[in-house]
Parts: sequence; C-alpha cells; structure tokens
Amino acid sequence: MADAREAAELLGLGDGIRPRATAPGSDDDETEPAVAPPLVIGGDAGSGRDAGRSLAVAAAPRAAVASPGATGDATRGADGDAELSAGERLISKLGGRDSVLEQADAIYQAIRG
Amino acid sequence: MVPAIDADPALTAGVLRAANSAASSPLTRIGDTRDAVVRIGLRQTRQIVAASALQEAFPLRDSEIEVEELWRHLVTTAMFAQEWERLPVQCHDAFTAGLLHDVGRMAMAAQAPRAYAQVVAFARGGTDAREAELAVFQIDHVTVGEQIAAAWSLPEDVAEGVA
Repeated sequence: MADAREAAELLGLGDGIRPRATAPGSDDDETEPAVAPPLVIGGDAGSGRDAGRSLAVAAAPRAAVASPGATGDATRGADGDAELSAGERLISKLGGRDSVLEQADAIYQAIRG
Repeated sequence: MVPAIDADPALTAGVLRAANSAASSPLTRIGDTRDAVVRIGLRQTRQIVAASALQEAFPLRDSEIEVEELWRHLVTTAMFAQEWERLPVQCHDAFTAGLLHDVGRMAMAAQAPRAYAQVVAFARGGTDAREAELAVFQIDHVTVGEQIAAAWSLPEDVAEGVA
C-alpha cells in the first residue's frame, strides 16, 4: 500500500488534509517550515473551556516535495538510465500520469452525485 | 449486479454517468444500467460501486477536508494498489483496500466534523495529522481504521491496507 500511496503522491495529489506538495522552485514552494499553533485538547478550541489543558505539538515541516524520483527507492544510473521507483513503475503500468488521472476522474465524476 | 445497482438511484446515476462520459465515448447515449455495465466493464462498475458505498457511508461535510482532493487521492491509490504486482490479493480486494486505506480518517471526520476540522487546521499549519488526531480525539485514524476493519470483518489482506 505504501507504494500505491507513493505513486499517488508522485502525481501531486494531496489527501485533502495536509498542505499539497509543491515542486521545488515553483511559485508555491515555501522554504520556511510552517509552525503549528498550540493544540487545545477537549472542548472548543479557543473558547477558553478547559483552559490550561493545552498541548503544544511540535511543528512538522511542510509536506515533502513530490516530484519524480524525489521519494521511494528510485536510483538513477550514471548514464542517465532510470531505474524507476515502485511508485513510478505503477504510474507507468497504468499508462502514465495523464491516463491515471483520466481513469481516476472517470470514477470520481461517477460518484460525485 | 444490475438489479442491485438499479435498486440504488445514486449508484444507477453513477454507472450511467461513467458509461456516458467522454472517456467511454459511447456512440449513442446510454440510459439502461445493463448497457452501461457492458459499456464500462465489470471492473470499473465494481470500482464505482465500492467508491459510491464508501462515500455514502461517510459524508464529509463541515470537516474542512477538501473532499474532491481526498477522493482523487483515494481513487488513485486504489487504482495503484490494484496494479501493484506484489500485493497478494485479488484485484477487486486490492482496489477496496486502497479505497479504504483512510477509512479511519473518514469515519472520524463524518462522526465529528467540527472536531476533525480542528485536526485539519493543525495539519495545514504543519502539525503531523496523526499527532493532531491524538490530541483532539485521543485516538488516531489508523487505530480507528483497524477497529472498523475488525467491526466489518474485512478480509485480513484488506484490513492490512487499512492499518
């Protein structure tokens, strides 16, 4: 399943929760890691209820950059021949990025109601 | 399969939409479920049925999750899982496993959307999503997913994909 997730990440698809990955050097690329606000446990955050029961959660760096070869176990030969990562192989097996996105879109459009 | 689809208006609409989509390129407009299944094939029909059932089970309104983005992520992961040559399960089970790999998160967001919106806010601020889930819910989506897999008696191979 990890390889399937990696392949999805290589397509630049976010999970709807975390900030979407950006390509290095792109306009959206943020070099500064985001800092999380303190997390309030229980009650309504910011309401003052359960004040003091707060937990500062260490900030994690932004999502890893998703670009072919950036994740997984890809290794590249000195002559430029690519030994594809598992994720890249999966994308290739399904006909490439555009084909995968088209197939996924067909299913999504069918269920979106 | 056709009578089961016909009994569910949302499923029927979904299968007909897929059959009439540009990707399917039908010569004439398809208005019958049986013709639609023949057009798109059993594999895609199964995929639509599974995805549609999951979507109905866990509506994600008010959770601040970007639903379209999540669904594209789930569907592509499921498609890749299906193609993963090393996955020792049958095709349709692999797709289901991929589709369900974040079912714990979907259940949390559907059950307590406002609380999960807090998780989303912290995750977008850079906090690890599982840490945020633990802080807000005292449980994370992986554990919830395992509990759902057990409650639904999912096959072991599918349950492993959820964990």
